[in-house]
Amino acid sequence: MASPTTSLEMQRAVIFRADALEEIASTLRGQLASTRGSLHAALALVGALPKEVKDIVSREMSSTTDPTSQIQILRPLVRHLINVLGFVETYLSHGTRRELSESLADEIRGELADLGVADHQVVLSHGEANNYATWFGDLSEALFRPLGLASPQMPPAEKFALFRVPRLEGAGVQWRPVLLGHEAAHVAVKAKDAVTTFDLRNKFDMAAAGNFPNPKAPVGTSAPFIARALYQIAESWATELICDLQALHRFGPAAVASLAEYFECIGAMGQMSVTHPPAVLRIRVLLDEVGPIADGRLNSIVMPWSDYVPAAVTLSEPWAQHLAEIFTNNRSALSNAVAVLATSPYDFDGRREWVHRAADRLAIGLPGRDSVAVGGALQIAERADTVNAAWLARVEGADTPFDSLAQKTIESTDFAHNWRDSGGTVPLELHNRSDSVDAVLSDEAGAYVLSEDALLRRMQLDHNEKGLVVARPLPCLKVRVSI
Amino acid sequence: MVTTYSSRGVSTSKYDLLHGGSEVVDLSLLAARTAAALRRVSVTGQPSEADAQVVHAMAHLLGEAAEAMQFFDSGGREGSPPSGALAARVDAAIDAVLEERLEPEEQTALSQRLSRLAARLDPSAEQLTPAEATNLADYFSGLASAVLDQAGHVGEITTTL
Repeated sequence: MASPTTSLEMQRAVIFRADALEEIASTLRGQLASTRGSLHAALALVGALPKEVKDIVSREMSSTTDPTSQIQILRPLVRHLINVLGFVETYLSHGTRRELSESLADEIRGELADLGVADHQVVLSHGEANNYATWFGDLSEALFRPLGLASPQMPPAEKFALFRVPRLEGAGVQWRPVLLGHEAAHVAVKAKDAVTTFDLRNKFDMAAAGNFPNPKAPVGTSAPFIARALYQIAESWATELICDLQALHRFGPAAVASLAEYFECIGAMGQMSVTHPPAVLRIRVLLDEVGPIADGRLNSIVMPWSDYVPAAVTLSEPWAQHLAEIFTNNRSALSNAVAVLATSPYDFDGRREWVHRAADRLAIGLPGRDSVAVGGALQIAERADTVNAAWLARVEGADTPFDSLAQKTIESTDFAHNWRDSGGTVPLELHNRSDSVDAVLSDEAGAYVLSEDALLRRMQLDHNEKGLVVARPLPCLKVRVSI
Repeated sequence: MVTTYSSRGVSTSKYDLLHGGSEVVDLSLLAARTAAALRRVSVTGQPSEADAQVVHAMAHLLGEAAEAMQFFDSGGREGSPPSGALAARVDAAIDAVLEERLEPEEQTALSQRLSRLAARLDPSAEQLTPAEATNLADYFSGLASAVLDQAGHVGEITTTL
């Protein structure tokens, strides 16, 4: 039986947590470097919540004297504060960590800009080793809407994209297709309503769906509810498959390798979840979409998985099999949904020389070239070249720290793109490539000290042993490059 | 909502702010405010402006939920599935009513029940009698509790290594 003393105690519970949340948000903001602008903004929004909650308590308690009614209003308020405290702990309390660099956040911002959703502020944090978690949307809405504020009192919309990534794969170049390809795509799939383009409604047989009890509507539930639950699962699966195909669209073979390797490692291949299709289906769809890869070296990136995943996926649960058939029979419609995201595709066949050369350098302990002068014009590597090169180096057995070298390549490449886009000029002669080892050595014959021109020719030389490369030292280099 | 499995393989439902928790709090608080407003109406006969706004918001949400359920009841021929920003709220409302452990035949009639409730709360409908207002207040009071209870936690995770 609720009494006025119980109601007062619950009021204290709300106020105590509201005050604590305010202090936590303030302390976390105080510890941050000024460069972490998105994190600052998120914490500022959280810090504004406690005052609103306390105002509501004051208002509602004065208009309702019945302790039972008072407690019913206080319970969701305190639960909301608990939820927000958990959210802060999970997404916003990581401070500054080396593996969560601003350059990685910048890569995500760049991808979101390409996807047309640059209005989202990016916050990265570390999460479980077996999960990427992405949340995006209006944080102001998530924090303040549950309070039932009238429109004029609602803080303005503030869109965020929050990514919780495994410490290893989150920072690794090899898994950029998961983070930049799949996870970032979620934001645009929602914003551009790509699932509607897939047109699930007209591919989903409502009457038939009622015959497939599922984890959201078990046996004994009436047919409309079974159909509703299966439709909800199908919407989630469609979203995931569209994001997978977007990763393929942006990264080519590396998308297959990075998603498949990660899924197999975390045990996702056979998982029939209500939110995600089993990974065996996801990889099958990707392999079917990419088709035969003519270049043998690029094909070796996907070969471990084309060997592994059956040509026809069979799932043990009837509801899951029913959905699998909907999506495998409508793969072209999934691709049409990817098209509405309107990003440029990665032409992996056209870029194969870049990938080969970069992989060769990674395999001997060198970062890839960021730029090459071709016919008097400077060409800059693409991020996907480097990601594919990292996978190629890996499948070809490189024992160098190829992922760190690929990271260095991406940083240089991004710098070169930004430099050029900002109007910067680059001395072309630095990026003329040469294979003429004999000519270079012959020019140097008899010299004890290399001249500026001789050093330049060495830097232009693409040769594992005789080329000169200026790069930061990395640990565990097993092959040294010498003059 | 995210379904997770503990180390012992027991299925547990986990809500947090970004996974259903926000919608649950939203619905529970709206239901609690609706109940409080209807209790005042049962005494005064007429809602205040603030109470009328709360009751109208609940009527609107129930109407959306009814339309969504009609879509599935009719095998996709009528109504429309919830979509966009409202979808999560509407789904939470439907799930909350489903938590009432209805018999299968009552489930089928859920869209009508939701429609009737929405219509009764509509400001243009006939004025509620004190008894009706009390009954509805009890219903929404129960809904406020039920919604929040389904998203509770036990407060600890114990695992034997």
